[in-house]
Amino acid sequence: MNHDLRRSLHDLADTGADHATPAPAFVGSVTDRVARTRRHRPYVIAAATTAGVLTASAAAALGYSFLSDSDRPAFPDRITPGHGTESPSETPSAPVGSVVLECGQPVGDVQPYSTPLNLETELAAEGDGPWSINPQAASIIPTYLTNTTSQTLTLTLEENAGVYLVQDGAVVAEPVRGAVDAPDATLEPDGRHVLVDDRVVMCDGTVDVPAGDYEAYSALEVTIGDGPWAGTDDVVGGPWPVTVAAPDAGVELAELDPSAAAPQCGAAITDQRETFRASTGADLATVQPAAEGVDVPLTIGNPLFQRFSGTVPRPTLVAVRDGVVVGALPVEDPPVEPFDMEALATTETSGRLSLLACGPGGAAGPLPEGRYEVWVHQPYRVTSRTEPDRSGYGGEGMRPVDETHTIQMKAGYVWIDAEGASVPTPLQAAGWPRALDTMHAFLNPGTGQSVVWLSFVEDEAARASLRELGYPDTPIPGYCQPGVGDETSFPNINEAGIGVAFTDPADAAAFADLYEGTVAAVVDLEVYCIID
Amino acid sequence: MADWESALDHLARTRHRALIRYAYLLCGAVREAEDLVQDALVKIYARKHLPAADDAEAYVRRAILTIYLDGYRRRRRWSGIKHLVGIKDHQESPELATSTQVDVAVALDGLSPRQRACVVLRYFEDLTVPQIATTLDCAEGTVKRHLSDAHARLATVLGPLHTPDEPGPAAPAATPSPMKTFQPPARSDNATPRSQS
Repeated sequence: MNHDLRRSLHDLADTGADHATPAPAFVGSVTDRVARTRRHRPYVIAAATTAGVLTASAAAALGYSFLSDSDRPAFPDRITPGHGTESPSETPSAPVGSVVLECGQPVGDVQPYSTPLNLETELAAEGDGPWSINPQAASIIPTYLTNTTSQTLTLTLEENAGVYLVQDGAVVAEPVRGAVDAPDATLEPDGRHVLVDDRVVMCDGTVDVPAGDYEAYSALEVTIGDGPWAGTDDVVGGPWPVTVAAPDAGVELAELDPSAAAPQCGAAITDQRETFRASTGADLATVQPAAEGVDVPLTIGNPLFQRFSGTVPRPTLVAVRDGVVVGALPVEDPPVEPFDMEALATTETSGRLSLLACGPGGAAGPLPEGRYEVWVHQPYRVTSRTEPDRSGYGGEGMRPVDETHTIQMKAGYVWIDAEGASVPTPLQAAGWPRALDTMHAFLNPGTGQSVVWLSFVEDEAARASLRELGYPDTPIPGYCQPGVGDETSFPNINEAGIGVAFTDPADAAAFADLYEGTVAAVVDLEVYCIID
Repeated sequence: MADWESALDHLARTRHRALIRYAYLLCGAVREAEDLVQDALVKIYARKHLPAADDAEAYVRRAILTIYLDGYRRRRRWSGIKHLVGIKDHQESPELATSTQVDVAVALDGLSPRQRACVVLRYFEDLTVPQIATTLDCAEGTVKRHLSDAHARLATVLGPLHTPDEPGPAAPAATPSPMKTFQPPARSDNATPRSQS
């Protein structure tokens, strides 16, 4: 006998209603809600409107006030301990000493002299030194200019910050001057302008700086456009105690330190995603080691039916091996900003990745050759949130709390070569295409344009083969590629299969050609985890 | 009591059960159904201009459907991949009393939100295909496709479906009863009647 669907639906509906809250209590609750809503209408309407527009790009407008890259000021506002110990100089004064920075020449008796600009180093935040530096790094000594006056200064940089190394009182290495990337700057009082280093060579012309202890200076020529300080000055910073590690000694990776807490050097790091998620679509092979760190774009997602707000520092990314943090943190402390995350929202931000090895004093030099995991760490201080609300609007009534919710999860991999540089994976070097991180594809609808399906079910052998190749092995639900059920014999789109997502169908085709196992299908449709 | 309050009170008290039944079939969980109904009532009665009393329920039902479809898109992005990203989110249905109810609930869960909405509107709300198309703001052909796909999926769990107002599946062509073609086995010369053993 055929199934009577109409009767079954009515029977099922009755059962549901039999277990619902009795009408009087239900009516009282909804009346209270409507009353509150009518009193605070603008807020709720605004929330409802924005909550209905949930694409990755639009989510940035959902009241998440954490700075995105596009909002980030050109000159990060960082706090450097020790800054501001002297009162800004209001009137120009003649230099009371001088310093000669020229190859082979003695530095001389250096006396401090006041200018409207100070040249300082971020390394001072790590303590008194000596600080370990890598003369081959893109940024040898992270430095910045500070406006010590009470007026806005208009600057033209005639050159980058050049690093001079001094041993036994004489200059032994000098910068090779190059083109200035950002020659013009405007500095507010107490404002800072980050400087770029030129390359360093030994005075005898050799490129490799021998291991040893040095005093470092940084100097550049700056023109101030107007005001009482108009004119061209040499601005010098230092001396700073630095150490160059012996290149053949190799950097020892940090060992597990049970007393360290992630993301500190030597700490054990484990997956934590109690509330929020992070992913990146960036090709981490393009991130080169730098003490101050390089920005990596990230997508942060809130998968819960709750709204959260509070404060959070910018994400930090670190290199990890065998579950231990072995990569240095970026030199600067990430700034703390307020945030407001709607239910089920995503937002774009960026984190700093250093890709140098960590040691007791901070960066210990380049990471040894090999493969490393890159992890994201970001602690959220939640000071108010709503209760869970399955309607998707995140509930009403933010209530005060004091909670910490930490993102700590793997964002990808990097390969470091023998020179400490980040390079494409050996597979990519051999022509295998780069896959789209699966979590990133889920959080960013449309970034994936093709999936190579190895199996339409969660086949462990297929997953294992992807892991061996270094590709993401996260199962992909069928509904995360709308239309795959029409294009293939996917048995149940509500279940997951095993596949690899790519941003470009050409990459998918290349993978399918190279893959020696069974390919169930290559489907050139958007990866978009929403069913309609 | 304000106008909105008396109107809301009247509708919610008199039509509470009907609205919960409708929402429950859409989402499959009692608490979620209550949230749907409550959110829809808030959406309608928080407005400055209230609907006419005779139209109020239709507005609320429309809001329930809209919130379900809109919210499902966002919920599913996460709920569907929760097992992949480590989110624990159990949805238990202790209210289901019979195995048939469980089968129907499971079958409905296998539908996409729009397929499910079409099934509920067709076989529970008794809307016609054109009326469903208007409600969902889509073409009639789309509704028919959703219903056809839904029938196929439901049948995999519930077996062939029969709905009283639509012709059932065509009766199979008459074939000889197996009994009519049964041929008793040929009697073996070695067979020994039992009574003679």
